[in-house]
Amino acid sequence: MYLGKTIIENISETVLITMTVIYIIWCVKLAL
Amino acid sequence: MKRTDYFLLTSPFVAVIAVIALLYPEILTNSIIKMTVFFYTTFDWFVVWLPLLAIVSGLYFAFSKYGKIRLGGDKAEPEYSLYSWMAMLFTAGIGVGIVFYGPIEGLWHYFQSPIGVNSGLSSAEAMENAMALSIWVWGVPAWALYMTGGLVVAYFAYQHNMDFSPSAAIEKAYGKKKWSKTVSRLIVIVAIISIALSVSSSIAMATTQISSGLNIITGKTFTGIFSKVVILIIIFLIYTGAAILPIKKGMKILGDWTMYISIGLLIFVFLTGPTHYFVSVMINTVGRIITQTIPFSFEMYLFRDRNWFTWYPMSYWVWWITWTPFVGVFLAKISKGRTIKQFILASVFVPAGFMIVWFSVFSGYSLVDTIEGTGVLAKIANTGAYEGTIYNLLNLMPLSEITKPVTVFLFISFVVTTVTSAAISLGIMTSHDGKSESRTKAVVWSVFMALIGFAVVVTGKIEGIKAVGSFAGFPFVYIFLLWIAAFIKQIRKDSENKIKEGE
Repeated sequence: MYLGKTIIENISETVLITMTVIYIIWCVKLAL
Repeated sequence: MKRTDYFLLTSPFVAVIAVIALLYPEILTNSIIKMTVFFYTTFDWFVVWLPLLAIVSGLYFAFSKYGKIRLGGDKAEPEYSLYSWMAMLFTAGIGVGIVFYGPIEGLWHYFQSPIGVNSGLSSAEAMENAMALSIWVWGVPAWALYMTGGLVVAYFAYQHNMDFSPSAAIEKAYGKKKWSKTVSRLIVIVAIISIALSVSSSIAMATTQISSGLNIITGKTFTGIFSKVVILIIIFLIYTGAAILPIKKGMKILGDWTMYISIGLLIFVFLTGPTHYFVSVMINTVGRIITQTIPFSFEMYLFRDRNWFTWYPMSYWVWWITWTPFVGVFLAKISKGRTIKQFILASVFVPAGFMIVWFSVFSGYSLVDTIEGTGVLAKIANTGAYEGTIYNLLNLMPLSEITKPVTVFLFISFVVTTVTSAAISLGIMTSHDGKSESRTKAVVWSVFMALIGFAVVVTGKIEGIKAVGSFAGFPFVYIFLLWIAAFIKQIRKDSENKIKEGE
């Protein structure tokens, strides 16, 4: 279910997740 | 300054989708389903807690000093009496969706959820879980998301004279930032495209329901592709006519009657069905929701059915956020003169209360029929022919010869009123100044929506309805956070300015 993905898939997942986390932090900064 | 031509920016994109819908309906729907699954499975960790964020931030603003702020200024008078305001909120969620999903939702979770009957639980436990999950997705979290969108729109419209637009908050709060204009334009573009697509999915939903209803009532086959397409064309002609003819008053009367009939149907099933059981379901489910709100908000169902988790609750959360510009603006427009506290509490708990009653009755009935009744509804749900569930439920009740045609009429009037107002709104949003009505553009949008609806109908998948309904609105998941940020920034700034003025 969670294993067995290719390196490319794992890296693109990481990029998308990291970008979302950065976006969330940016929104918090904008709010304050 | 000349306004951006949103028609030029959005219509070619939707036109391409509409043409593909006409030529390759299955390819279009399946590709949208695939993209949707990708979004949901990649960003589920982010989407899952957004409703809780809306609930918690809503409660904070309601009970903090900001709760006393009156929308429209300290001296603003409410436009509607408390009674009419409450009545409008109560019926705000009535639409094609609740009649379609009312009897199915509970069965779906009963059989398919990781805490359903197939996970080894007893039927009683699985039933309670199924009801809690049904009311979880349609109740307080859904309305907290709508309320948040509505609060942001209302605050900037009434306190800062901005338009009732999804981009107003960003334009006002971050107007000096370099990215503000681009982001605001993107928000309007996404709103236009997502309204067009989600209304297309409502057209598809209503078409399948009407064909299934005619099939059950007449005993003749209306469920083939040809019959469905004919029904879709008839619906298209009615709503397009309604959008361009000067019959707004007539549409208002039709809309009001649709609501009365829906409530009549609810009361009818409540009274002729097992009333004590319905009330018990409501009490039991409210209790479960109170204790489960936090666990449900972080539950990722690891190592369990990913397919179920994708189509529930992920697709629902994104779906509600997609509809936020539509429903939120409605909530905002009727709430001038109310305090922020009144707005937050009433626009979450009043419509959510209606949903609790509706789903306890319709899903509750499907479940009692499954556990100790005929089992007919469960059989239908397990074959995937969801659209027939409501009619078969009514078949088990007295006077079904009357209630079934009435339900078919309900679907027709729901779809006509929803799509007509969406076509008119899209015409306005894409007009040269964003304020005037444009009949030609309304017709163009009507055609696009019918073609995309056609693709979903041809494919005949419930996932298609959900995916097309929510996929274009996925960016709103991100915009949603930006709205909250803009609101927090502006309300704090306004409050500081007020204190300074006072000094």
